[in-house]
Amino acid sequence: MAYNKNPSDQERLVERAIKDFESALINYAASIIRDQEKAKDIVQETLIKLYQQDPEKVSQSLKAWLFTVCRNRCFDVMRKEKRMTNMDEKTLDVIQDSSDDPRRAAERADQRVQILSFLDRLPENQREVIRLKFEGDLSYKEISDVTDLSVSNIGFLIHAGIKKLRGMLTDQTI
Amino acid sequence: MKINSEDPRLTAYALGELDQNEVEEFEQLLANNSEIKSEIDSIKSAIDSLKQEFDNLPKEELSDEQKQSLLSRKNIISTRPSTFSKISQWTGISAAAACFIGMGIIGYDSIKKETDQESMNLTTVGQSLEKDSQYQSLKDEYQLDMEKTVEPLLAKKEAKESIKADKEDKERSFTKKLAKNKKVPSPNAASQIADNSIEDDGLRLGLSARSRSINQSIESGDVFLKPLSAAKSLNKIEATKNYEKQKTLEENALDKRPISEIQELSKEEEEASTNNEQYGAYYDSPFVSPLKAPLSTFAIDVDTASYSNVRRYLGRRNQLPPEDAVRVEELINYFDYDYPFTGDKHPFSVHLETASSPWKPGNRIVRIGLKAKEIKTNKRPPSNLIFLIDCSGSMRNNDKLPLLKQSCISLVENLTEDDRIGIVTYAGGAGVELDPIHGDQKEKIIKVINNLRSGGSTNGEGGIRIAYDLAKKNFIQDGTNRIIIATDGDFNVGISDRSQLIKLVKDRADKDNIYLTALGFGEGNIKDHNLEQIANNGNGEYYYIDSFKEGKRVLVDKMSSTLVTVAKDVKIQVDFNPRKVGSYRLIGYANRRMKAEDFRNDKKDAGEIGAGHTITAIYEITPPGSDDQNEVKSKYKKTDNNKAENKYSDLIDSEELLTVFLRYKNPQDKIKDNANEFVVPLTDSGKGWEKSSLDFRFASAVAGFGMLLRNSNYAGEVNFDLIIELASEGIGKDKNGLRKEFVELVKKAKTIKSKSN
Repeated sequence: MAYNKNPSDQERLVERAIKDFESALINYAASIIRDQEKAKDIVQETLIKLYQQDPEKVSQSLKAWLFTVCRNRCFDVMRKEKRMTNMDEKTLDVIQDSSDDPRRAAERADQRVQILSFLDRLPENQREVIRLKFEGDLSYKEISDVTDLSVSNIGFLIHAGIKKLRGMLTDQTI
Repeated sequence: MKINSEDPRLTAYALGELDQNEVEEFEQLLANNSEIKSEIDSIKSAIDSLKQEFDNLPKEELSDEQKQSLLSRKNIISTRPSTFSKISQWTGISAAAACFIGMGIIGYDSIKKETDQESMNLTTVGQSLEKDSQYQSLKDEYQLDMEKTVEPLLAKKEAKESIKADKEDKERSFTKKLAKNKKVPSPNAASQIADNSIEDDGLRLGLSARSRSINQSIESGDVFLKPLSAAKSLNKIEATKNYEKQKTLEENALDKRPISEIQELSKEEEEASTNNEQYGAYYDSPFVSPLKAPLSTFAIDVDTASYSNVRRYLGRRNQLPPEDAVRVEELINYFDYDYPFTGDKHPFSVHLETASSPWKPGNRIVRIGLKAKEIKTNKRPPSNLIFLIDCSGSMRNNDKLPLLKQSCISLVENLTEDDRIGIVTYAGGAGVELDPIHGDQKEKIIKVINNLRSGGSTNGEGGIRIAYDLAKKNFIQDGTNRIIIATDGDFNVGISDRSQLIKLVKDRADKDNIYLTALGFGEGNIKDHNLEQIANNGNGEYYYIDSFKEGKRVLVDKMSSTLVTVAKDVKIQVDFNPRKVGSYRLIGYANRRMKAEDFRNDKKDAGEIGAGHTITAIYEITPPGSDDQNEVKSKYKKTDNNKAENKYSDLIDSEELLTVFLRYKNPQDKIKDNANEFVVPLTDSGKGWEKSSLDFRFASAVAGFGMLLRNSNYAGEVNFDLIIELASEGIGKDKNGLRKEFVELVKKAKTIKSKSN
């Protein structure tokens, strides 16, 4: 652990992370794990991990680092949950239902009236890279670092994803 | 090489993801390909709307608890003594802090002096005056003579408190804590003193009133003394105490318990941290005997922010608000009361009513109601308004800038060609967005408002000065000249030193007659105390806008009262007749109390009252002969002095319960001008609260609710059911439905409370 560095650097780093990426990280995690509250837990854990990093090493690639750690943590949690789900699928459903209060859900619903509302219809990999690109504002290269896909693969996924979204939007308006 | 619409380079190009060589190659390829060009345009527009829609998503935030846990983590790491030298450094800090605390035990006067000096250095004259007067008035009220015999007991009481505080999980405001910490004796002294335990209840009560008042006298200084090294090291001591706790926390990364102490440590660095709603500390007035202090003096307060904030907590967040977010008078004054305006000589009239206390048999409730003269919206004098709008990134949430815009637009729709409006932004914006223009150019104004964007770099330089300069340039004689600052809490308006900011606001109000109103928005960052204070000093009000409905209430429905001041520096002094009153207590107005002698000091700032405003103050009084909770006895005083005939020997015969004195200045009066004064006496009819007016019952219910939310020591037998009953009876016509909403809110609070128990 590298916290014998100047602590204020770490604080600044975490503050920057919260300021710039809190919301995007939560939404990203939620899109993977499909549960807003768990997503927040994961983001919290991600930020806790950030404290343990050497600010000098992380700050250059902060964005990619955050989304990578967040993503890995999502999959960890899902792996663990898969075991749980098999045991008691119903309980989990109930938890998910109550986790989102209706007001917020309504707010979100209002907001997503346009192109975003089709995002969920895309294949998972396209959905993810589009979110990273547009909500997280990551470059192809950074997305590649996060997802372990090649840059050209990402270019293809985003291109295809946007094309599909446009198609759905046109269908809708016609 | 050919390209078609399936080529991912189209999107990469639109996104600027191609490198220089690729761009050149690609652009050659599409030079003559209009089909692909238009395909790229469609991609670009899809990209733009995607970006925008993602941008417009409601901002997700970690819960408070999660943030607290994060903040605690920050402290573990930043203060963790990882080497031996660090440990010894810690000992040094503790020792230094212990020395400082030691001074706390030596004497209250020395601390007083200490804070005075500090505040002289670091706060404005106005601030220290306010502090002084708070201190002084408390001293008057409680007759605080800190004799040497009392001091050890006082220290003991506090030692106990400090030990208790360690275990307390209850959330307390930073300032209150700080004030307390300042007086915490070093562990050794604490245990020493705590050994001689005192159990006398009467004494303890009296003492608690004392220690509180001392804390308060320090408090107002402390709020501005963040950089104070002593306070810092005290926090560090607290940190040592919590170290074990933190260690446990650290081992359990998923532990999300709210550890308030730890959170408070980090508030020192709140400038940079994210979730930090901030509240000043307020202390309820105790019961005071009129034999000791017959006069109770306070400045009026027409703010209502506290109520909408409480509503947000209960309604939207499903939590009880922090105690210090509850300013009881603002809760009471949120509602309209049906007091008629009868005066012609004075700009407001006074209505007194008294009835038995619904929650404490034997006690009486006295309601003082003020009603300012109405000015119809279409008859209001022309307004010169400058909006000073916070456009920092944190304003982007729907409950902030978008709500602000919506509310502003509804105000603009009600402006006339006589009015002038200008818009200045700070943080993220470029200064003057709209040079003041006449209020009938609505389209242009609304367009500017709609174009306000949050985010971008901080560019606060001079924001507030620009706003005042614009207001001055466009000054309307005999009109309303006002800055309306709208923010979620950030005050980087170009003056970073808050005391200077307050001084500026006060100067401009006094010299230029330009007042200031503060509108608070949003969650997570609201600096309640600062906003209240800045509005207070700017001769204006502080509103918290939690919804469009509230925005409309403040800026449209209450436009005249928000904009048009009919009297300023309004002070109330109540003279209680000791023959009729055993002791009295002012509910709320905790930070508006004044020294008795400042009532007729016309240089002392007080509260403003807007057209049509109603203001209500409530006293609870105990009957004569009831036990005086603050009774202190000197051994030099004759014991028989308490006998009725002696006690009242120097009093005139009067059947009156009390007399209310009111003092105010006209809005255009200057500091040096004399104020007007009038008097209204009250004789108790002895009626029960069942016979009281609807307004009386409703206002009492709101007062009781405030006391409950504050966990006031004086709440007595007040409970949620009683409040619901009282408020329901007092609903009356309820034109705007706000009273019904209140009853619902009380029910909600009751549910939340019962769940948390």
